[in-house]
Amino acid sequence: MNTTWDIRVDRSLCIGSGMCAASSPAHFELGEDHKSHPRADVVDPDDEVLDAALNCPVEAITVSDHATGTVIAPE
Amino acid sequence: MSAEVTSPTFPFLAGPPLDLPAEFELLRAEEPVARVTMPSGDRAWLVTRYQDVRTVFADPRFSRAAASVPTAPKLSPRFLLRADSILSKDPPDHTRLRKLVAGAFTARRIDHLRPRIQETTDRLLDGLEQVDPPADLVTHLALPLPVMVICELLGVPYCDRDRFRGWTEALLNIELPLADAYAAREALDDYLAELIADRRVHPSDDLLGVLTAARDEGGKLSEDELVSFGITLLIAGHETTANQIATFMLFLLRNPGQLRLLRESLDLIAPAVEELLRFTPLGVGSGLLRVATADVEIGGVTIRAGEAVIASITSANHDPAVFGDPDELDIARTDNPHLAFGPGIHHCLGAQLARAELQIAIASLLQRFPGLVLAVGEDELNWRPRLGLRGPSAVPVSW
Ligand code: HEM
Repeated sequence: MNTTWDIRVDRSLCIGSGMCAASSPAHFELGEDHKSHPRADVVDPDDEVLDAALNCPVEAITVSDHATGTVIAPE
Repeated sequence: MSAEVTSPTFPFLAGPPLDLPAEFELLRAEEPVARVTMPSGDRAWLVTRYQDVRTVFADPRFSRAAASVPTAPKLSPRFLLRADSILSKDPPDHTRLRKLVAGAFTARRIDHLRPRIQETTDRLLDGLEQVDPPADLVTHLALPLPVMVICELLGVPYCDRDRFRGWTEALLNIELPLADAYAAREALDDYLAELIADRRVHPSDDLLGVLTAARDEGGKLSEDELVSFGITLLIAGHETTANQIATFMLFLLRNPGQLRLLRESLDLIAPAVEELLRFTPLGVGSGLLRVATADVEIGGVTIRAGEAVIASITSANHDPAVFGDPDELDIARTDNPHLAFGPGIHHCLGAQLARAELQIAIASLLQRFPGLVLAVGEDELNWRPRLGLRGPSAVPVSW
């Protein structure tokens, strides 16, 4: 079975910097409230998603292995 | 439409530095995407409405890399930011560079730094207390605090501050000959190269050490990118915050009701700093200039590929479509999606650090000096002669 990833954005942490939505528009968008949410909760592995999690200024984005729940980013 | 809004020159520097240029309100209402002429003589589109400003920062077709080639339109001929700087890059180069240090600036990491920032602030305020008032807030707090903090993070010796402060000043001061700015940029390059050479002999875990290792062990960035990153972090890491600490205090002193409220309820310091960030223009009141890489329509205007765009953070932060009573300073404002740190991929790397420094500096100052007042008239203040990163050169206070 192919690996898939879960993307979670903690909206209580999100400050709406817009970094993820600008660097990875395929995976994130800013809502009306200027907070980020993933376009899809489960995605195929993509480095862009890891970069977004690493670069999030408040570490609101968590990427984990869909099958095992192991956190992949941020480490 | 009135004559003055059809072809204005930007930046709007005619009024007193603390006053919001009246042009922004006019433009938001009448010409939200306006043609302006810059000090270089080049033209740009000035974007003034909140939503449009967000769009410019978020849309990858408004490029910093395209604005950093020699032939691109420029704000001013003295704008000497290197094309190797993170601020001059688009993805994927931008992402590659940002990842190298992003972990050091997260909210969690900065929280760990707070006690150290508090200790440094307390020490500086001990020093201020020893002085017979009037004393200068810039010399005693606003400048040394961010300089000390960024020196420690980067691993730049604090004892070199007069040297790199001198070069920074020469780089930004519009009254000095252009040759001085070029010389200062060379000197900064040489200085950072020296520090990096030292890291190669004595590895360290400060940011310069981490970046040097990323180059030497991982080939993650070029030598020029390494030097430019160091300079960008050093200058962005202290100039902005120093100006903001000083200017925040001026705005508070100008609004005695708000100042009293904050003094009496210092737990308002976090929303107060957000409000002061919204309220206080940074330099010319805009983010760095972008150049369109394709024809893009915004606010009913088509911006052609190759044309320059300036998105005004200051204007967005005063847009009544988003902020109630936008021209009132309200330190208890709750819904405050201000754009002081620039949204999008170049969102200020040091935003959390700046917040920590500003909160600690302002709260500690108000606590220790409850009777603080400006010792001169506001109109007697001297402002650094600059296009960007403007701030008072001194803020004499007594208590
Ligand atoms: C109140 C203080 C500060 C303000 C208002 C501020 C504001 C900004 C703004 C508006 C930008 C984006 C510019 C643009 O996209 O046109 C920016 C970028 C940046 N800031 Fe700050 N800044 C502050 C403090 C700091 C501090 C303390 C650091 C320390 C490291 C820092 C480092 C940076 C860096 C490295 C960038 C470029 C990020 C990138 O290109 O990805 N800033 N800042």
